[in-house]
Amino acid sequence: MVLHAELAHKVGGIGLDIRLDVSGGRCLALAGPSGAGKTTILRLLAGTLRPDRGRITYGDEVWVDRSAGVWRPPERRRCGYVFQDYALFPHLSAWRNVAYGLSSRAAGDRKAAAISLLDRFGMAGRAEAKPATLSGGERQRVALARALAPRPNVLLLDEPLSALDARTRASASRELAATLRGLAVPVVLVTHEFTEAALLGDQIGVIDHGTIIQEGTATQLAAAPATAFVADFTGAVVLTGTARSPEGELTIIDLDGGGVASTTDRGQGRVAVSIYPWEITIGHAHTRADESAQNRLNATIASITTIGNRVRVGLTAGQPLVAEVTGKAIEDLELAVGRPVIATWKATATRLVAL
Amino acid sequence: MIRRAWFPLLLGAALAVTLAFLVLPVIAIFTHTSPGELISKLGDPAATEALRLSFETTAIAILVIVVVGTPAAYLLATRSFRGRFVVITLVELPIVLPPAVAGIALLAALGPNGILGGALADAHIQLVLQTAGVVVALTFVSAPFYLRQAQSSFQAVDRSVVEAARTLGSSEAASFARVSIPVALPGLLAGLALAWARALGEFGATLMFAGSFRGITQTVPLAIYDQFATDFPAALALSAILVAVSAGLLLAVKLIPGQAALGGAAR
Repeated sequence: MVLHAELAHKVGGIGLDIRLDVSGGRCLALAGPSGAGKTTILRLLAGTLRPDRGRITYGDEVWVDRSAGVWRPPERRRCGYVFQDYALFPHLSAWRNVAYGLSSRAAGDRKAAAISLLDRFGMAGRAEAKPATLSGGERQRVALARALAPRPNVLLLDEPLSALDARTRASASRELAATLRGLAVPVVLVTHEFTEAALLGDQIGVIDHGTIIQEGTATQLAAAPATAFVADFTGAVVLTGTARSPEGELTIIDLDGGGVASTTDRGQGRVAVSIYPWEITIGHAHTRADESAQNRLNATIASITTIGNRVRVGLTAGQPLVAEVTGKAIEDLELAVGRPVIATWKATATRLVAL
Repeated sequence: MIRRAWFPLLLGAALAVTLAFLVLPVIAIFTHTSPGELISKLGDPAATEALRLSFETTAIAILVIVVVGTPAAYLLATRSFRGRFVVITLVELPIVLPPAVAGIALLAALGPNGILGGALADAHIQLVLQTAGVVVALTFVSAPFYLRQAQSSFQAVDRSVVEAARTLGSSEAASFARVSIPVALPGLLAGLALAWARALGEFGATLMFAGSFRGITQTVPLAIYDQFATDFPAALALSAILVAVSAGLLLAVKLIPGQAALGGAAR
């Protein structure tokens, strides 16, 4: 079954204009900054909001067709919906939350079904607990069990991991990824984090100001960002400058604020250059140029932040940039804030994006 | 040290004065006449009839208010429409209306010569000087207290919780009954207690619209007024009952989980 939607809706100053197709067993992750209209898209799909214009179909069922006056209310669309704050019914125990959508079954059956589903998420022991007494991770699992209980046509997830603390997040995201892989229905997930989208989505749509700017796999988006926004969003360092492409040579970019970069991409005029922090290496100011590392930029270390086993080094040059190196490199090079260094990266790792 | 302590002392003194002023009259009700005499006065037919009438009329009024007011408050809380603000203001207007004005207004609307007087007469419905008139006056005066509280309680229900019910197969009516009402229940009960307390104490509008006839329209406040000139202890005895019941309702409001204080749930 394919979920298909083409929607236009104006909400809070944003003109939403979206077109999406998701087939069964696939997960489309819509990623974008807060305020981009992501939650509104899920509301429109679930039917808790009516679009100004547009059409939603699921297989051969027409859910919405504004021009034909077709409207299917949310209770007849059967979309499993995991809300951002999970929206568990506060007056019902965990198992009753899960059983809520099983009203077509016999009363005795419902409890057994709800508990076996909770068990699948390791929550059978908390079946009688009220939502207020559950931890963030437990709520997330109950919310997921509740959404899946009625065997929904479509699963919608709104920032499913954002309400969790950093420690719960890693394990919850692995579990969620495994759950999503086992589903045969179309899944639409929205998130403001690219890494989350990359982990959970088969396909990622980067969304800003109500439209999908670019769609592709995480690798495609990272390798060939269509705009500077996408490059920035995927986590790349973005530098602006003016490009010239001499015949038969690398493209040269004169960076704003000083410095020159070269790339194998072709481009002309005002451009943005995107490089991933892990492509950038740092060396002492006096090190000689390495052949494959074509780009060299004088910089000063502005910050050193350890994230897991990696270290992010903030650099001040003509434009700020970030390098990601190992902790060992920091020690070996005796790097410290305020030290002048040279940032180097390969021309082949430098993507050119038109502005 | 003394200089630094004056402000807390001032605060304490202000509270002491406030408390003495507000509580003394209430205590006086119970101490002016001996408890034995108070209890014996309650055996008086005028007192028992007034108590029965007050209980019946307020119960019917509250029932009407809850049955009609709950969905009305839900609509005001969950829908945006043109003129919503005006409608809310109009609904709350009786709260600030002087009781005498409320009585006159009810007469002008539903009295024999009122706007709907002819229509009511054709339907053989008589309100003025009748028990039904008491119910009308109580409903008019106390409904806004429930509506206000119910509306803010429904507004406080997380929108996505109701949406969750819809996506799980509930129609709007079913999600209203199975989710919105249970989640808003503490606030609804608080509003109910407030409206009930207001109805129990209603005096002016009832007097003007329904009159003060023993056994027919003479509720407890009217009986207190009727008796205080002739039988002060009897008036005190009825007052004591009203104080006890009202204090009980106030306490209930405070003890309902999630209700911090009077109007505590109002946003």
